[in-house]
Amino acid sequence: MEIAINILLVDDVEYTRELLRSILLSCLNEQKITMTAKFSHSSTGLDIPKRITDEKINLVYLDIELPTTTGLTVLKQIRQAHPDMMVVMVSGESSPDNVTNSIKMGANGFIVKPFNSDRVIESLKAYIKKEYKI
Amino acid sequence: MNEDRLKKRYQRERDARKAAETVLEQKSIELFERNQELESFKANLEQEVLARTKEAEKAKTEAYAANQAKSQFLANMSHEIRTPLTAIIGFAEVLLQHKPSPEESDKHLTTIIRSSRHLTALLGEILDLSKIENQKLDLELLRFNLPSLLQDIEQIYQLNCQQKQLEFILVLESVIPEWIVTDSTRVKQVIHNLLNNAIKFTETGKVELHISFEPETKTLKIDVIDTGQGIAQDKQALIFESFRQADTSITRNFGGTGLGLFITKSLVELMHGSIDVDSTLGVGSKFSVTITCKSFEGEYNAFKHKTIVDIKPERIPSLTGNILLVEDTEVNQQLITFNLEQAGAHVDLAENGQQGLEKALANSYDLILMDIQMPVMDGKEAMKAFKQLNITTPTYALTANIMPSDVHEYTEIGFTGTLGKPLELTNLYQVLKQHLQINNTASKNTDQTKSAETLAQDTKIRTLFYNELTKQNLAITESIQSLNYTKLIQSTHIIKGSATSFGYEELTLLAEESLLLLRKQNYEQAIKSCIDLNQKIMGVLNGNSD
Repeated sequence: MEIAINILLVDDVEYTRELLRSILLSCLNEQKITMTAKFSHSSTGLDIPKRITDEKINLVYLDIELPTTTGLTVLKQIRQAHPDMMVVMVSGESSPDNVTNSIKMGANGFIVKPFNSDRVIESLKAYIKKEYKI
Repeated sequence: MNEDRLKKRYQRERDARKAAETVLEQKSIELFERNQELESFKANLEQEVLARTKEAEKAKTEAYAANQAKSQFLANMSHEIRTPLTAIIGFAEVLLQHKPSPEESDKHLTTIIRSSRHLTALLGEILDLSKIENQKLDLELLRFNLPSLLQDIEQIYQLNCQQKQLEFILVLESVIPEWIVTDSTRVKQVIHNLLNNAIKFTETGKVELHISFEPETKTLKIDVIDTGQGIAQDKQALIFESFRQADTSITRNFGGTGLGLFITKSLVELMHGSIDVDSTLGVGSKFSVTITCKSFEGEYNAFKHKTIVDIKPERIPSLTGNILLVEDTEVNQQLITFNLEQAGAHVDLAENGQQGLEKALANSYDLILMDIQMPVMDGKEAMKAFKQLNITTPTYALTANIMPSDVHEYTEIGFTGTLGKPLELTNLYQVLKQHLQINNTASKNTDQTKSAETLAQDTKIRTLFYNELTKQNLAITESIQSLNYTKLIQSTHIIKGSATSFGYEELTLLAEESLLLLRKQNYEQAIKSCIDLNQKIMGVLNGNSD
């Protein structure tokens, strides 16, 4: 089975995006199914709902601490336009507020920095399971 | 004619006089009666006053006696509390100051634990008493497994009796139900009270617990028989009263509050039952309790299950893996951690669901054990959050509520399974064997978890990291000078989130410290910490450029 996936990474720090991309790529190869992924990124968190539509995004990794807005605000916007979009929150802090607010607003995952690759892999597996029931 | 009129006049006068006499007599009788009534009333009144005075005096005596009993109780109580407290404080001080040998320490610690347990039991009794006195004791009807309750009791008392070199025998006199609905805590309490008493007053011989069930009347019969010192005939009625023991010297010799049997009797009556004692001084006692339960199901035949308990010492498996234990009670934390570490697991602790969620997000575990009842966020809520955030780590509910309906609910919301409390080691190790790896093939898993760090070795990403570090350090230098705390928070935050991935644990720790101080608005310390961080980063960057 072949799966093509468009992933949007929203983070203002370049190496964080790169690190996340590398982990995702490495675990894409580990999947029994062939996966091809296209990555795009946003360092501001602006216009995300529109970009999801335009770029046919399947999966979003969304940093909470962004320069001019917050990931939670962006999550809210995404939920209004794309209620079923899979959004995984990324944060340096799993503070109670961040986590509970993310849950309340319907996040599908929460990854804490520094990254634990198991968590990242888990989030991708959850996506595959949700979309392809495998 | 004249004579005729005269006669008539006489006749009239006679009649009138007679009538007057009759009235007079009547009045006189009435007067006499009234007088008599008055006399008797007076006598009654005197009697009444006498009776009332007597009653008042009796009430006074009773009140005095009750007061006396309560004072005696308070005196006993303060003695009862002081004795274990003295032991706890005393031995703790010895342990702290004199650092005795391990064997000595164990002995002292055992005493401390025993005394603490005694205090806990005491507290429970006092609370029960106050509930009974305020008529606030309610039953909590639950469906529970009777054989397993008896099994627990047998385990405990076999041990307790052994310590006093007594024999403990559990006898099932009839087929008993598998499940009964009544207040299991209170049933246990009744049995515990009776058995504890029996052991306390028995120096040699045995203590027996006989259980039988009468299905027609839904009556559970519990007999506790001992070969102890017995209770004199005239004292047998007294022992069920509050603050009373058959003999005040008992308190001195055996301790106790004198509340146990009163509480037991109140509990039994609350459960529509009765309690009786049959005892011969110097021979032994038999306490018989009946409890009416709400309903029952199934049959447990003692003849089919020859012995209820089959204690096999569980072999501790040798495993490896990371376990997150989410549990709010310190004692349980320590006990469970100890057992998990015995099996070779590494244990992380979280004190409530919220913390558990944070840790589960930040680390990868092979297994999560989670208490259900916790403050802040309970186990069920945490599980729901796990589900939503796609945390797929096998997670077991740790709980005392193991009714089939509860267990079903836990599975429904996403728990992998349920482990009943108190934790059975056999069950715990079964779960561990399922989810942890056997010790000698340990290396595989750790490789995978390290891949994030391995990726960080990638030079391209590393360069990006150093660029970012340079940028943030510049920002820190500027912000320290301009006292721009918001910017400092941003920069330290970024460093904290990334430095560990690249092997700079120390930077992460420093950044974390700075961030904490900044958030607490302890700016003076924060600036100092930021300067340290600034220096450290320079060192790292210089080292790198070299």
